[in-house]
Amino acid sequence: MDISFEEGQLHFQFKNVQAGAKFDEQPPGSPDHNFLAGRGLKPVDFIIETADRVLFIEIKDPEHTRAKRQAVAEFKKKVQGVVLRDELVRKCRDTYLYRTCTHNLPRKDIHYYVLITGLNVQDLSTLTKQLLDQLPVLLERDAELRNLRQHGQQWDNFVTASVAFNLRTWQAQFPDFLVERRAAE
Amino acid sequence: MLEKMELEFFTAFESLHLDFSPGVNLFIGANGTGKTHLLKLLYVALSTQREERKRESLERKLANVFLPQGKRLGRLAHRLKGGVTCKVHIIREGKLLDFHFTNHSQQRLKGYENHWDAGHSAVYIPVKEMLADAPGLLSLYNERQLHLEEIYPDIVQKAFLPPLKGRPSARRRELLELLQQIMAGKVMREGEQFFLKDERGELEFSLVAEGLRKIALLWLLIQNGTLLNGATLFWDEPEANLNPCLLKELVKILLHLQREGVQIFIATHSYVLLQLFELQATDEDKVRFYSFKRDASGRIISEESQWYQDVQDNAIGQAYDDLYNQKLAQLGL
Repeated sequence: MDISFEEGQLHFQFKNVQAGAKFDEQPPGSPDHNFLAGRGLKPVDFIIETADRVLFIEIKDPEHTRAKRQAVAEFKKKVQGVVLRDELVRKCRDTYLYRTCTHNLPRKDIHYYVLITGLNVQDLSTLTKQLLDQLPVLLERDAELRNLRQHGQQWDNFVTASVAFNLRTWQAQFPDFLVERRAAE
Repeated sequence: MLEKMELEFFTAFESLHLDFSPGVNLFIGANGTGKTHLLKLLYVALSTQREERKRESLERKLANVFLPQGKRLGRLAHRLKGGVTCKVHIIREGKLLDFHFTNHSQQRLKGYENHWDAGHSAVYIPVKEMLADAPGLLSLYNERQLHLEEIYPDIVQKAFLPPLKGRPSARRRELLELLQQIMAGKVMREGEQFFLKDERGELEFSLVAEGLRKIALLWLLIQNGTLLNGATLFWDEPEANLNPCLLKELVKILLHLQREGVQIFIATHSYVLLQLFELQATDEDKVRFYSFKRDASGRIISEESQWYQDVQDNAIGQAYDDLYNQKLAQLGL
């Protein structure tokens, strides 16, 4: 099925997906309404389920403002610091925690995608590295994974990818996940 | 201040038009896109102004800085089949310097017109630091036919200049203090040999890290007044041999110099350096980015912008693109 969401000026259309929710804006009467924020949990913007993955998606759109260049410059500075990183990490962890506690997380690979408009690819690389460092994705070559196995322990990756995108790299990577800017009313 | 330059068929370039910032001009591009040639050409143009026989001094300086085979200026023309006329047109303070030669020219320019005022301080800092090699270099260069680009003896000569008379201004003292903090010492000279003096004693420059020697060179040039208001600084790859942690301080100093009225031209491969300029520059600072690349037919073209963010299609950006895409592939995307 195809699912569409609006996030500020950005219009998203996810083609050929199995389910999707705008997770941070649950309607009144739904079980998730007001729960997340009221109990200290920070949700991501969208959760999308495809045939083989669950996608946690967070959107930041500094380019939507009138002071676009200044807003993007502020975000570029944030990429060098820890506040943005910690906020993004928390959203992913809290979403995982909530969905796990509510038994509502399919056993599929989880990918965390952060779309930030206006960042250049160097910033995206920096942020991606930060996310991968803070949201551990253990690969076969990693010493931590070998150590766990030597002690008879298992490790299920909590996310198997966490990546930052801008509009250009998003569109290049996901031709079925359309995004376009629609001017505000 | 240098304001604009137009080139036709000069070395790597078929045609080029650049408008310069009075502040910091940053040249970005892959190897072989002519960045260093531009720095050298502008330096040559500014370096001949103190002499009376300007045309001859320009011819000699071009040959000594670029070192074409047999010092034949024609070898600086863009390589094409048939006859090629190389034209250089530079505007400084609204006044013109114009010269041309052909690919068959020997040691003489074909045409020369110069309306620039005399008296200008231009400094070229090469990639290779030279202070450690200073002892004996100038006398050797002056007495013997060395195959050595003249930018090297030039920078040593400038480093040898004694300090200016009088007390430096507060802002210059602040700059010198900042550089001393980075070096954790002071620069001393005995004869033609430089030393870094700290609480442990004097260390000869050949034993000092090359990155710190570059900071020391900057200290000397500021202390002896070579980098005064109205001077022009050309620096090829300041990031070479410099720890990225020191780049932050270096950018701070360069922006400071620019506010003091020094026009700066830098060729760089360092993303950190570019990013630092974009992050540290205030609205009053005049920083401009120039990206050089080859088009589909192999011609070098340029793109300029007030923001590094806007010259995305550059060699450094593409290198990061590749790394980013490899990372995505590794994550199974």
